[in-house]
Order: sequence, then structure tokens, then C-alpha cells
Amino acid sequence: MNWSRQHPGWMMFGSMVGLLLFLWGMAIPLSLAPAPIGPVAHLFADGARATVMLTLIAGSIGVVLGVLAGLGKLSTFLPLRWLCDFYVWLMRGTPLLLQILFVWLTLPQILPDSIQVSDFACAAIALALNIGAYNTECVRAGILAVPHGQVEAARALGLSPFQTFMDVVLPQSMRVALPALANNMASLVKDSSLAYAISVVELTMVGYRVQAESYQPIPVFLTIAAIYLILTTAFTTLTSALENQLDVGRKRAE
Amino acid sequence: MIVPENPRPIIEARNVGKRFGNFQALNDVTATFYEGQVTAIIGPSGSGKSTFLRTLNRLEKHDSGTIVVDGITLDDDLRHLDAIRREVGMVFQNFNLFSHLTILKNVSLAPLRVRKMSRADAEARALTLLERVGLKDQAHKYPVQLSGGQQQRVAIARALAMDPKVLLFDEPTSALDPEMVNEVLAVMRELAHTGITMLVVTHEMGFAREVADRLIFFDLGVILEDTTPENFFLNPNHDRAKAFLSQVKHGY
Repeated sequence: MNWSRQHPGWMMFGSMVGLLLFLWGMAIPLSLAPAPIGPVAHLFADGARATVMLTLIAGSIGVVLGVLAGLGKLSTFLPLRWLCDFYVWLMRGTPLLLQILFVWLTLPQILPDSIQVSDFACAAIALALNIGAYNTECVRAGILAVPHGQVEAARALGLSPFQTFMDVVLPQSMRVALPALANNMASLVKDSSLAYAISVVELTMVGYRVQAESYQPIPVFLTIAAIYLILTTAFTTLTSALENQLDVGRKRAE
Repeated sequence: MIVPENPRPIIEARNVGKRFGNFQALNDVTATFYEGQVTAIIGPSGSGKSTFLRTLNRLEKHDSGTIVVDGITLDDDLRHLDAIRREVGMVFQNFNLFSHLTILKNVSLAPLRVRKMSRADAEARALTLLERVGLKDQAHKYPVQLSGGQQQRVAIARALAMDPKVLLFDEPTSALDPEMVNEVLAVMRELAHTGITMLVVTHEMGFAREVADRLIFFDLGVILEDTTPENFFLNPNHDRAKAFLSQVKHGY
């Protein structure tokens, strides 16, 4: 633990490499497993990759959405604040499954026929909108936690409001917001399984299909659960290393 | 009012008023500050001295009157505000160093962003300034690793990095342990001799008396006395000033 605190960069690098190795290499050890897992090991690997891609894409967009809406909620411009309040209220007050189905079924109707949106994209959009709403509250709390003196010092030095935000407020707010954002990200790994309802072939869908053919749900779902656990562990290691990295200013002498 | 030889006004405040709700913090304050002048601003708590200082770079917006800094009127025009803030540095009671940045980055941030200096130039300059306040060897530490006195010296270096014409000090030693007050005052004393214009809100009567060219006494949002430190300490005109002095003077 001490080592990982002192070398957050290496921890991040390590968990990234671990995650990549696991995603690309997991088919090899899995294929040695007995039926029903071994013969379809590549399906598990594909499913895990889809889950991770979905998490990374929706998670990145969700962080951007969270920062924008979190700022909007603190704006002095009332209509913008109302819009952001409405967004958070709507996304947190309705089931994620409904949101996924809604995007999947309505997007093709709203968009012109020339634009085709894949099932995967629909799931990513719905997940990003959902996690963005939860991120909004974390970001807002983080920004409110930055002492006002920091802003005054930056403004007194002549930094513009935008520079003050990017150079001073945002990095400091992330120290507070990051643990909560990381939590949301770990939930997203699991929540992405709901994409199976709109026939996205991610990890849970793979498990469902394999057990439907083999009639052996126990080994199949245990394998799926193990893969999810490895993924969430990798994500939380990554984010806690990032947290240590951002914590520097608060550390006492080494 | 104390007017130096060959005066060139750098800050002109005319009939400045400011209220917080029902509280009249500043009432018709008029004062002109000249280039190179070191002014100590003293007075009891809540007298409006800090508020006055903070209106001069618009950390507080004044409600009435006019403030002109180096020929630029302080108003809602953001370009005016930016121009003024580039010329006016500020040192705070609680230092307000950027806690997520190293000392070096604290000092080089504003020249880098506002003056658009190259990183190498900004950091070289920051190191020179840190050497001047005696903290070159701390450049790669974070603010939390420094003592209060060291942090305040960094804050002074940070303000100087923008090459301001005026430096505002808002009770720079009030949050410090008694042992650390002198190291900050020493830096300020050295600065006062360089010809930079300084406005210092302070409770350090010794410093005011020794270093300042001019002394302003605030009470209830108005300037009661505006004179030389010697005059003020030897024969203050107002009873309020006499009462204040008798409270703070013991020990001098």
C-alpha cells in the first residue's frame, strides 16, 4: 500500500498494462478450460472487450458532461441552471434500462434515414447521459470545496475567469470529486451489462448465449462474474492511483 | 495628505462607497496615492481598511465614486479590469498559494498565462524572485510543506512575478506565528526601498512607523487621519485615533 501511494504513476501504468494484457490474452488460458467455457473462449474475450469499450467511451463522455453540467448548475444564468437541474433530475429519476431502450427506439425515428446509429452507439449514448448526471453532483461538490481565496488569488494575478477555472479550480476540485467519479466509473462497468437488452454483444450477453446453448449456467456465469471482478478491480486500481497522483499538494513532507 | 516631490498619481479614489447589506463599509473615501509611496493603512477591525484595499483591484466592487489606477478607470469593462490587475499585485492574509502547484509553478503561472512568457523564461524569472525572498531551494516543494512565513514570502514573489506597479498587502503578517513575522517584514522592508508603490493594511505599528512614508487611519468606513507616521504616533488629531493607539501602543 505504501509503495503504491508513493508511486502512483507506476500503479497507473501497471493497471493499464494489466487490463490490456487481460483483455487481449484472456482467450488463451480460458481456451484450456473444459466445456462449456473452453471451446468458446474467444466469445468471452470479445464480450469483455465490448464491455470495456462501452465503459471507456460512455465514461469519458460522462466526465465531460458532468463537468459541463456541474458548472452549469453553479452558473448565475438562471435558464442554464434550470436546464442542468432538469437534466440531473430526469436522468436520476428514471431507470437506466428505460433510458437505454428510449435512446435505442427513438433515435432512429428522430434522426434522418441517412444516419445509421449502431446498437452499441445507442447504449454508449444512454450510459453516458446517465453517468453524466451522477457525475454532475460530484463535480459540483468538488468545485464548491475549492476555497474562495484560491479564485481571488488567481483573479488578482490577472488570470481570466476561464484560465482561473482551468489552472486552479478544476484541478483542485478533482481532488474532492475524483473518489466519487471513480465510484461511478466502477458502477458503469457493471451497469453496461444492461446494454444486453438492446442486443449489444457485451459480456453478460455472451454469458446468456453460451449458457442457453450448453444448459450449464453455473460455470458460465461464475466465469462471467470473475471477469467482471477483474475488470472492476483494474478500474478501481487505476482511479485510486490517479487520486494519489492528484493528492500531491496535500501531502506532508516525504 | 502627504504629497511627495514630483508626484505622479498612480491610484486615485474619489468618493468611494461600499455597503454590505445594511452595513456601510466605506463612506465617501477619497485618497490619492503616488508612485513610489509606501502607505500603511491601519484602524480597528471592521473599519473598512481591508475593504478599501480590495476595491482597488475590484475583489470588491465599489457601489459609488470612481477609482482610477494608472490612468485606467475601474468599472465593469473587463478589459479595464484585466489591464489594472496586471499592474496591481496583491498579497493576502492567508497567503492563498495554489495548493496543487509547486512553489515554482505558483510563481511562474501568471507570467506564463497572462504575460504569455515562455515556460523557460517564466521559470527562470520565478527562480530569480524566489532567490530574492530567500527560498530558491524550496522551489520544488508544495505550499503545504512550507512554514507560514515562507508561504507568505512565496506569495510576495508570486505577486512580483507580474512586475506590478503597485503592491497591495492585506494584513500580510496577521495569520503568522510571532516568530515568522520578521522574515516577512524583512522582505517587505527591502521591497519598500526599491521604489515600488505599496499599500499595506497592517497591525504592525513598528513596521508602519519605520517603513511607511504615509499613514492612513480608518474608522467606521471613513479616513480619519492621513498624515506621516511620525505625526500620527506622536500627536494624533482624533480621539478615536488616540484611543486606538493607547490600545496597540503598549510594547513600543
